[in-house]
Amino acid sequence: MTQEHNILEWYAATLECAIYQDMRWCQLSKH
Amino acid sequence: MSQPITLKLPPLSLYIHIPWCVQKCPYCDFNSHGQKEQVLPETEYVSHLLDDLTEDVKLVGNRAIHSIFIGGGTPSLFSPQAIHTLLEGVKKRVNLLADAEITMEANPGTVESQRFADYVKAGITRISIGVQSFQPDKLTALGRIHDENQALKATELAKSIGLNSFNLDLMHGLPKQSLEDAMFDLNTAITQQPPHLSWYQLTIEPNTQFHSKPPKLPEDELLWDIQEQGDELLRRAGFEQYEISAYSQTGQQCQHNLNYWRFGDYLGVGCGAHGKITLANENKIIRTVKVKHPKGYMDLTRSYTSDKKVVPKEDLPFEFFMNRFRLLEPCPKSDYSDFTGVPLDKTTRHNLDTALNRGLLVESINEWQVTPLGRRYLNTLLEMMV
Repeated sequence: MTQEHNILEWYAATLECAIYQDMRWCQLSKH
Repeated sequence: MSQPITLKLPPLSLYIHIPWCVQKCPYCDFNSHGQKEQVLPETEYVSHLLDDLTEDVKLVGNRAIHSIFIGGGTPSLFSPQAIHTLLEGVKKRVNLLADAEITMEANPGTVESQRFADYVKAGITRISIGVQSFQPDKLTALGRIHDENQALKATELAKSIGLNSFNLDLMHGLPKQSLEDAMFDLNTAITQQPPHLSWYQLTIEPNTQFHSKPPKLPEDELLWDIQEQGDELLRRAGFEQYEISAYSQTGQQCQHNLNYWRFGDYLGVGCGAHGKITLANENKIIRTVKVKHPKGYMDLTRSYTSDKKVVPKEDLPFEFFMNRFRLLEPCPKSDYSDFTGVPLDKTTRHNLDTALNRGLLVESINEWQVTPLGRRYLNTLLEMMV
Protein backbone atom coordinates (compact mmCIF):
# COMPACT_ATOMS: atom_id res chain seq x y z
CA MET A 1 0.00 0.00 0.00
CA THR A 2 1.18 3.48 -0.71
CA GLN A 3 -0.91 5.45 1.68
CA GLU A 4 -0.48 8.69 -0.13
CA HIS A 5 -2.20 7.05 -3.09
CA ASN A 6 -0.61 8.66 -6.08
CA ILE A 7 -4.01 8.83 -7.67
CA LEU A 8 -3.66 12.33 -8.95
CA GLU A 9 -0.41 11.43 -10.67
CA TRP A 10 -1.97 8.28 -12.01
CA TYR A 11 -4.94 10.26 -13.24
CA ALA A 12 -2.65 12.78 -14.87
CA ALA A 13 -0.73 10.05 -16.66
CA THR A 14 -3.85 8.14 -17.68
CA LEU A 15 -6.06 10.97 -18.76
CA GLU A 16 -3.29 13.44 -19.57
CA CYS A 17 -4.71 15.92 -17.15
CA ALA A 18 -1.69 18.08 -16.46
CA ILE A 19 -3.62 20.29 -14.11
CA TYR A 20 -4.07 17.52 -11.56
CA GLN A 21 -0.45 16.47 -11.86
CA ASP A 22 0.66 19.99 -11.20
CA MET A 23 -1.75 20.36 -8.32
CA ARG A 24 -0.90 17.13 -6.64
CA TRP A 25 1.26 18.69 -4.00
CA CYS A 26 1.01 22.35 -4.75
CA GLN A 27 -2.37 22.97 -3.28
CA LEU A 28 -4.63 20.06 -2.63
CA SER A 29 -2.46 18.36 -0.04
CA LYS A 30 -2.00 21.45 2.07
CA HIS A 31 -3.61 21.35 5.49
CA MET B 1 -34.87 11.58 -21.51
CA SER B 2 -33.21 12.80 -18.30
CA GLN B 3 -34.13 16.17 -16.81
CA PRO B 4 -31.58 18.98 -17.26
CA ILE B 5 -29.75 19.64 -14.01
CA THR B 6 -28.84 23.07 -12.73
CA LEU B 7 -25.39 23.51 -11.25
CA LYS B 8 -25.42 24.75 -7.67
CA LEU B 9 -22.69 26.91 -6.22
CA PRO B 10 -20.52 25.09 -3.66
CA PRO B 11 -18.65 26.97 -0.91
CA LEU B 12 -15.79 29.16 -2.14
CA SER B 13 -12.23 29.39 -0.79
CA LEU B 14 -9.15 31.41 -1.70
CA TYR B 15 -5.64 30.01 -2.12
CA ILE B 16 -2.69 32.43 -2.20
CA HIS B 17 0.74 31.17 -3.26
CA ILE B 18 4.01 32.71 -2.08
CA PRO B 19 6.77 30.93 -4.00
CA TRP B 20 9.99 31.66 -2.13
CA CYS B 21 11.93 29.49 0.34
CA VAL B 22 15.28 30.00 2.07
CA GLN B 23 16.47 27.03 0.06
CA LYS B 24 14.82 24.33 -2.01
CA CYS B 25 14.43 20.98 -0.17
CA PRO B 26 15.58 17.88 -2.10
CA TYR B 27 12.16 16.18 -1.96
CA CYS B 28 10.06 19.22 -2.86
CA ASP B 29 8.30 19.54 -6.20
CA PHE B 30 6.16 22.50 -5.17
CA ASN B 31 6.43 25.67 -7.17
CA SER B 32 9.11 27.20 -4.95
CA HIS B 33 12.32 29.07 -5.48
CA GLY B 34 15.36 29.43 -3.21
CA GLN B 35 15.82 32.90 -1.82
CA LYS B 36 19.57 32.95 -2.63
CA GLU B 37 20.38 35.91 -0.37
CA GLN B 38 18.21 38.22 -2.44
CA VAL B 39 15.80 40.63 -0.80
CA LEU B 40 12.31 39.36 -1.43
CA PRO B 41 10.12 41.69 -3.49
CA GLU B 42 7.32 41.38 -0.95
CA THR B 43 5.71 44.79 -1.48
CA GLU B 44 5.71 44.34 -5.24
CA TYR B 45 4.48 40.74 -5.01
CA VAL B 46 1.63 41.59 -2.63
CA SER B 47 0.53 44.30 -5.01
CA HIS B 48 0.49 41.74 -7.86
CA LEU B 49 -1.45 39.25 -5.74
CA LEU B 50 -4.14 41.84 -5.11
CA ASP B 51 -4.32 42.83 -8.79
CA ASP B 52 -4.55 39.12 -9.65
CA LEU B 53 -7.40 38.76 -7.16
CA THR B 54 -9.18 41.80 -8.61
CA GLU B 55 -9.26 39.99 -11.96
CA ASP B 56 -10.46 36.71 -10.44
CA VAL B 57 -13.24 38.36 -8.45
CA LYS B 58 -14.99 39.05 -11.75
CA LEU B 59 -15.64 35.30 -11.91
CA VAL B 60 -17.31 35.05 -8.51
CA GLY B 61 -18.99 38.40 -7.89
CA ASN B 62 -20.04 38.79 -4.29
CA ARG B 63 -19.92 35.11 -3.31
CA ALA B 64 -18.75 34.59 0.27
CA ILE B 65 -15.20 33.35 0.87
CA HIS B 66 -15.19 30.68 3.60
CA SER B 67 -11.46 30.14 4.01
CA ILE B 68 -8.06 31.42 2.92
CA PHE B 69 -4.86 29.39 2.73
CA ILE B 70 -1.52 31.17 2.24
CA GLY B 71 0.87 28.46 1.09
CA GLY B 72 4.28 28.18 -0.48
CA GLY B 73 7.20 28.09 -0.58
CA THR B 74 7.58 29.60 2.84
CA PRO B 75 5.02 32.36 3.38
CA SER B 76 6.53 33.12 6.81
CA LEU B 77 9.47 34.68 4.95
CA PHE B 78 7.09 37.56 4.29
CA SER B 79 6.86 40.12 7.08
CA PRO B 80 3.72 40.46 9.22
CA GLN B 81 3.27 43.92 7.66
CA ALA B 82 3.17 42.36 4.19
CA ILE B 83 0.65 39.75 5.32
CA HIS B 84 -1.42 42.51 6.94
CA THR B 85 -1.43 44.52 3.70
CA LEU B 86 -2.35 41.38 1.77
CA LEU B 87 -5.27 40.44 4.02
CA GLU B 88 -6.60 44.00 4.22
CA GLY B 89 -6.48 44.14 0.42
CA VAL B 90 -8.30 40.80 0.19
CA LYS B 91 -11.06 42.05 2.52
CA LYS B 92 -11.57 45.11 0.31
CA ARG B 93 -12.02 42.93 -2.77
CA VAL B 94 -14.05 39.94 -1.61
CA ASN B 95 -16.89 39.10 0.72
CA LEU B 96 -14.80 37.38 3.39
CA LEU B 97 -16.89 35.71 6.10
CA ALA B 98 -16.21 37.06 9.59
CA ASP B 99 -15.38 33.60 10.93
CA ALA B 100 -13.31 32.50 7.92
CA GLU B 101 -10.40 30.19 8.64
CA ILE B 102 -7.21 31.97 7.51
CA THR B 103 -4.20 29.65 7.48
CA MET B 104 -0.58 30.49 6.74
CA GLU B 105 2.26 28.00 6.32
CA ALA B 106 5.34 28.61 8.45
CA ASN B 107 8.75 27.04 8.59
CA PRO B 108 10.08 26.53 12.15
CA GLY B 109 13.40 28.05 11.08
CA THR B 110 11.82 31.34 10.10
CA VAL B 111 9.69 32.22 13.11
CA GLU B 112 10.21 34.05 16.35
CA SER B 113 7.69 34.94 19.03
CA GLN B 114 6.98 38.55 18.08
CA ARG B 115 6.71 37.63 14.42
CA PHE B 116 4.18 34.87 15.15
CA ALA B 117 2.11 37.22 17.32
CA ASP B 118 2.17 39.87 14.61
CA TYR B 119 0.83 37.39 12.05
CA VAL B 120 -2.17 36.87 14.32
CA LYS B 121 -2.64 40.63 14.57
CA ALA B 122 -2.52 40.75 10.77
CA GLY B 123 -5.51 38.41 10.66
CA ILE B 124 -4.04 34.90 10.54
CA THR B 125 -6.23 32.50 12.56
CA ARG B 126 -4.37 29.23 11.95
CA ILE B 127 -0.75 28.29 11.26
CA SER B 128 0.52 25.18 9.52
CA ILE B 129 4.03 24.37 10.70
CA GLY B 130 6.30 22.34 8.41
CA VAL B 131 8.02 20.24 11.09
CA GLN B 132 8.48 17.03 8.99
CA SER B 133 10.51 15.25 11.72
CA PHE B 134 11.80 15.78 15.25
CA GLN B 135 15.01 13.81 14.59
CA PRO B 136 18.12 15.75 13.56
CA ASP B 137 19.48 13.18 11.09
CA LYS B 138 16.10 13.00 9.31
CA LEU B 139 15.84 16.79 9.11
CA THR B 140 19.34 16.93 7.64
CA ALA B 141 18.47 14.22 5.11
CA LEU B 142 15.39 16.23 4.11
CA GLY B 143 17.49 19.38 3.67
CA ARG B 144 15.46 21.30 6.21
CA ILE B 145 16.95 24.47 7.66
CA HIS B 146 15.50 24.00 11.14
CA ASP B 147 16.44 21.65 13.96
CA GLU B 148 14.23 19.73 16.37
CA ASN B 149 14.46 22.41 19.07
CA GLN B 150 13.21 25.06 16.68
CA ALA B 151 10.35 22.75 15.73
CA LEU B 152 9.36 22.36 19.38
CA LYS B 153 9.72 26.09 19.99
CA ALA B 154 7.52 26.92 17.01
CA THR B 155 4.88 24.54 18.33
CA GLU B 156 4.98 26.13 21.78
CA LEU B 157 4.65 29.55 20.21
CA ALA B 158 1.67 28.44 18.15
CA LYS B 159 -0.06 27.39 21.36
CA SER B 160 0.55 30.71 23.07
CA ILE B 161 -0.45 33.44 20.65
CA GLY B 162 -4.22 33.13 20.43
CA LEU B 163 -4.61 31.16 17.21
CA ASN B 164 -7.86 29.29 16.67
CA SER B 165 -5.92 26.24 15.59
CA PHE B 166 -2.62 25.03 14.20
CA ASN B 167 -1.31 22.10 12.19
CA LEU B 168 1.92 20.15 12.38
CA ASP B 169 3.14 18.70 9.08
CA LEU B 170 4.97 15.43 9.68
CA MET B 171 6.42 12.98 7.15
CA HIS B 172 7.09 9.26 7.37
CA GLY B 173 8.83 6.75 5.17
CA LEU B 174 11.99 8.84 5.43
CA PRO B 175 15.50 7.72 4.41
CA LYS B 176 16.86 5.23 6.99
CA GLN B 177 13.73 5.59 9.12
CA SER B 178 12.90 2.67 11.40
CA LEU B 179 9.48 1.90 12.88
CA GLU B 180 10.76 3.25 16.22
CA ASP B 181 11.96 6.47 14.54
CA ALA B 182 8.56 7.02 12.95
CA MET B 183 6.73 6.37 16.24
CA PHE B 184 9.15 8.70 18.06
CA ASP B 185 8.20 11.50 15.67
CA LEU B 186 4.50 10.82 16.08
CA ASN B 187 4.73 10.56 19.86
CA THR B 188 6.67 13.81 20.05
CA ALA B 189 4.05 15.51 17.90
CA ILE B 190 1.20 14.08 19.99
CA THR B 191 2.87 15.34 23.18
CA GLN B 192 2.58 18.85 21.75
CA GLN B 193 -1.22 18.37 21.51
CA PRO B 194 -1.70 19.94 18.09
CA PRO B 195 -5.36 20.39 17.09
CA HIS B 196 -4.44 19.07 13.63
CA LEU B 197 -1.78 16.72 12.31
CA SER B 198 -0.93 16.14 8.68
CA TRP B 199 0.98 12.85 8.54
CA TYR B 200 2.03 11.85 5.07
CA GLN B 201 4.43 9.50 3.38
CA LEU B 202 7.50 10.79 1.57
CA THR B 203 7.24 10.06 -2.13
CA ILE B 204 9.94 10.74 -4.69
CA GLU B 205 8.66 13.13 -7.31
CA PRO B 206 10.07 13.98 -10.75
CA ASN B 207 12.07 17.21 -10.98
CA THR B 208 13.44 16.94 -7.45
CA GLN B 209 16.96 16.34 -6.17
CA PHE B 210 15.76 13.06 -4.64
CA HIS B 211 14.57 11.92 -8.05
CA SER B 212 17.96 12.41 -9.69
CA LYS B 213 19.82 10.97 -6.69
CA PRO B 214 17.33 8.71 -4.88
CA PRO B 215 17.91 8.00 -1.19
CA LYS B 216 17.25 4.51 0.17
CA LEU B 217 13.74 4.47 1.53
CA PRO B 218 12.06 1.93 3.86
CA GLU B 219 10.75 -1.27 2.23
CA ASP B 220 7.01 -1.68 1.61
CA GLU B 221 6.60 -4.05 4.56
CA LEU B 222 8.08 -1.50 6.95
CA LEU B 223 5.97 1.26 5.42
CA TRP B 224 2.89 -0.85 6.06
CA ASP B 225 3.87 -1.34 9.72
CA ILE B 226 4.55 2.37 10.15
CA GLN B 227 1.14 3.19 8.70
CA GLU B 228 -0.73 0.61 10.76
CA GLN B 229 0.94 1.44 14.06
CA GLY B 230 0.86 5.17 13.39
CA ASP B 231 -2.88 5.06 12.69
CA GLU B 232 -3.44 3.19 15.93
CA LEU B 233 -1.25 5.55 17.94
CA LEU B 234 -3.09 8.58 16.60
CA ARG B 235 -6.48 7.00 17.20
CA ARG B 236 -5.60 6.21 20.81
CA ALA B 237 -4.40 9.80 21.26
CA GLY B 238 -7.83 11.08 20.24
CA PHE B 239 -7.10 12.03 16.66
CA GLU B 240 -9.67 11.29 14.01
CA GLN B 241 -8.53 10.62 10.46
CA TYR B 242 -10.79 12.57 8.09
CA GLU B 243 -8.74 12.48 4.91
CA ILE B 244 -6.05 10.18 3.53
CA SER B 245 -3.20 12.02 5.22
CA ALA B 246 -4.98 14.31 7.67
CA TYR B 247 -5.89 13.75 11.32
CA SER B 248 -7.49 16.15 13.73
CA GLN B 249 -8.99 16.52 17.14
CA THR B 250 -12.78 16.84 17.19
CA GLY B 251 -13.99 19.81 15.20
CA GLN B 252 -10.49 20.84 14.14
CA GLN B 253 -10.48 19.67 10.52
CA CYS B 254 -8.89 22.07 8.07
CA GLN B 255 -11.91 23.74 6.47
CA HIS B 256 -9.90 24.87 3.47
CA ASN B 257 -8.71 21.34 2.73
CA LEU B 258 -12.19 19.91 3.24
CA ASN B 259 -13.51 22.31 0.64
CA TYR B 260 -11.03 21.02 -1.97
CA TRP B 261 -12.11 17.42 -1.48
CA ARG B 262 -15.81 18.20 -1.23
CA PHE B 263 -15.54 19.50 -4.79
CA GLY B 264 -15.88 23.06 -3.58
CA ASP B 265 -14.77 26.09 -5.54
CA TYR B 266 -11.53 27.99 -5.00
CA LEU B 267 -9.81 31.00 -6.41
CA GLY B 268 -6.07 30.55 -6.81
CA VAL B 269 -3.91 33.67 -6.89
CA GLY B 270 -0.12 33.90 -7.04
CA CYS B 271 2.56 32.08 -9.03
CA GLY B 272 1.33 28.73 -10.37
CA ALA B 273 -1.88 28.80 -8.30
CA HIS B 274 -4.88 26.81 -9.51
CA GLY B 275 -8.53 27.75 -9.28
CA LYS B 276 -11.78 25.87 -9.80
CA ILE B 277 -14.86 27.96 -10.30
CA THR B 278 -18.47 27.01 -10.93
CA LEU B 279 -20.23 29.37 -13.32
CA ALA B 280 -23.82 28.40 -12.57
CA ASN B 281 -25.38 30.86 -15.02
CA GLU B 282 -23.33 29.41 -17.85
CA ASN B 283 -23.79 25.86 -16.54
CA LYS B 284 -20.06 25.10 -16.55
CA ILE B 285 -17.06 24.60 -14.30
CA ILE B 286 -13.74 26.19 -15.21
CA ARG B 287 -10.18 25.73 -14.04
CA THR B 288 -7.63 28.53 -13.97
CA VAL B 289 -3.83 28.35 -13.75
CA LYS B 290 -1.59 31.31 -13.03
CA VAL B 291 1.87 32.01 -14.51
CA LYS B 292 4.30 29.80 -12.65
CA HIS B 293 7.61 31.68 -12.44
CA PRO B 294 7.77 34.83 -10.29
CA LYS B 295 9.48 36.82 -13.04
CA GLY B 296 6.77 36.01 -15.59
CA TYR B 297 4.00 36.44 -13.03
CA MET B 298 5.17 39.94 -12.14
CA ASP B 299 5.68 40.93 -15.79
CA LEU B 300 3.18 43.73 -16.32
CA THR B 301 2.98 43.04 -20.05
CA ARG B 302 1.42 39.62 -19.40
CA SER B 303 -1.80 38.34 -17.92
CA TYR B 304 -1.54 36.58 -14.55
CA THR B 305 -3.56 33.71 -15.99
CA SER B 306 -1.62 31.22 -18.10
CA ASP B 307 -4.49 28.80 -18.67
CA LYS B 308 -8.24 28.83 -18.29
CA LYS B 309 -10.41 25.99 -19.51
CA VAL B 310 -13.83 24.49 -19.10
CA VAL B 311 -13.87 21.04 -17.45
CA PRO B 312 -15.45 18.70 -20.03
CA LYS B 313 -18.78 17.26 -18.85
CA GLU B 314 -17.51 13.71 -19.39
CA ASP B 315 -14.65 14.29 -16.92
CA LEU B 316 -16.90 15.54 -14.12
CA PRO B 317 -18.11 12.20 -12.67
CA PHE B 318 -14.59 10.91 -12.14
CA GLU B 319 -13.30 14.26 -10.94
CA PHE B 320 -16.08 14.44 -8.37
CA PHE B 321 -15.47 10.95 -6.97
CA MET B 322 -11.69 11.25 -7.13
CA ASN B 323 -11.94 14.24 -4.85
CA ARG B 324 -14.84 13.20 -2.67
CA PHE B 325 -13.68 9.67 -1.88
CA ARG B 326 -10.46 10.93 -0.32
CA LEU B 327 -12.60 12.02 2.59
CA LEU B 328 -13.73 9.52 5.18
CA GLU B 329 -16.98 11.35 5.90
CA PRO B 330 -20.14 10.23 4.07
CA CYS B 331 -20.81 11.90 0.75
CA PRO B 332 -24.36 13.25 0.31
CA LYS B 333 -25.66 11.85 -2.97
CA SER B 334 -27.26 15.19 -3.79
CA ASP B 335 -23.78 16.79 -3.96
CA TYR B 336 -23.02 14.74 -7.05
CA SER B 337 -25.54 16.32 -9.40
CA ASP B 338 -25.64 19.64 -7.51
CA PHE B 339 -21.91 20.26 -7.92
CA THR B 340 -21.21 18.55 -11.25
CA GLY B 341 -24.43 19.49 -13.05
CA VAL B 342 -24.63 16.04 -14.62
CA PRO B 343 -27.12 13.27 -13.83
CA LEU B 344 -26.03 9.96 -12.38
CA ASP B 345 -25.95 7.98 -15.63
CA LYS B 346 -26.00 4.21 -16.17
CA THR B 347 -22.22 3.91 -16.46
CA THR B 348 -21.57 5.75 -13.20
CA ARG B 349 -24.29 3.74 -11.45
CA HIS B 350 -22.69 0.54 -12.72
CA ASN B 351 -19.27 1.70 -11.48
CA LEU B 352 -20.71 2.46 -8.05
CA ASP B 353 -22.40 -0.94 -7.93
CA THR B 354 -19.09 -2.66 -8.71
CA ALA B 355 -17.44 -0.81 -5.82
CA LEU B 356 -20.36 -1.70 -3.52
CA ASN B 357 -20.11 -5.37 -4.46
CA ARG B 358 -16.38 -5.37 -3.76
CA GLY B 359 -16.91 -3.90 -0.28
CA LEU B 360 -15.03 -0.70 -1.10
CA LEU B 361 -18.10 1.46 -0.63
CA VAL B 362 -21.41 1.40 1.26
CA GLU B 363 -24.52 3.39 0.50
CA SER B 364 -27.71 4.48 2.21
CA ILE B 365 -30.67 6.27 0.67
CA ASN B 366 -28.93 9.63 0.87
CA GLU B 367 -25.19 8.93 1.13
CA TRP B 368 -22.18 7.01 -0.11
CA GLN B 369 -19.28 6.23 2.18
CA VAL B 370 -15.86 4.71 1.56
CA THR B 371 -15.29 1.63 3.76
CA PRO B 372 -12.00 0.95 5.61
CA LEU B 373 -11.19 -1.49 2.78
CA GLY B 374 -11.92 1.21 0.21
CA ARG B 375 -9.68 3.62 2.08
CA ARG B 376 -6.85 1.11 1.94
CA TYR B 377 -7.36 0.43 -1.75
CA LEU B 378 -8.42 3.89 -2.82
CA ASN B 379 -6.60 3.63 -6.14
CA THR B 380 -8.61 0.52 -7.00
CA LEU B 381 -11.84 2.22 -6.00
CA LEU B 382 -11.10 5.30 -8.07
CA GLU B 383 -10.02 3.30 -11.10
CA MET B 384 -13.50 1.79 -11.01
CA MET B 385 -15.01 5.24 -11.31
CA VAL B 386 -13.30 6.15 -14.60
